[in-house]
Amino acid sequence: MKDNKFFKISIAEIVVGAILEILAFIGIADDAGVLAGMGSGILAVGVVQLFRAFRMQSNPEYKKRIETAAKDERYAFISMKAKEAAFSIYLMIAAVICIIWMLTGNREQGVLAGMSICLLVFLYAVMFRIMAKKY
Amino acid sequence: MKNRLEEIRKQRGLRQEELAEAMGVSRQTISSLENGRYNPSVILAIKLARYFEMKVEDIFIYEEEKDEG
Repeated sequence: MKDNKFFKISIAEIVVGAILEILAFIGIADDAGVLAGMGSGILAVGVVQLFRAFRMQSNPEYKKRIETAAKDERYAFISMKAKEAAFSIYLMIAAVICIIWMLTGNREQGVLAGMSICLLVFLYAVMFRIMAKKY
Repeated sequence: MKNRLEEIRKQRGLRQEELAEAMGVSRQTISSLENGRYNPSVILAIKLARYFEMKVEDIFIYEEEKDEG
């Protein structure tokens, strides 16, 4: 049942990726490059997931290792720590980029970078309140 | 937090892989626990204690850090 889910998800990713590639090839969007890039990314993820799903089906030991890793508490802890670090690093990079853009006269991009910082901080504040109620 | 996990595991003649499988965690988790790089959740600590038929505090030794200066 779970294996089917992996197959379905990977096939859906391949289909979406292929559709985006076709749309980019036809030239439906103004910036086909972005569409092609997104399509390639999703397609690549889908192919890797599909390969993984096949390997899980044919290799029970690999399947067991993947399933253990998925519920392993140390992996979950590491993942949480990595997200925490990525969040902080993103904020710092975005802040520096925002200042540089503002100083170099790219106001529009600077505002966008600033807005992304505001959105992240706002989401953090909201999630903190939700989590504080939950735990 | 220190622990006697490696010592106890070896006393019982278990490999890290075997203990990991019994606990439903990865071998790396057992390795990190033994090296003191990772502290387990309360649930895992209790599972380990039950598995070895010991008390949690006989496996994990918590020492409060002393303020220096």
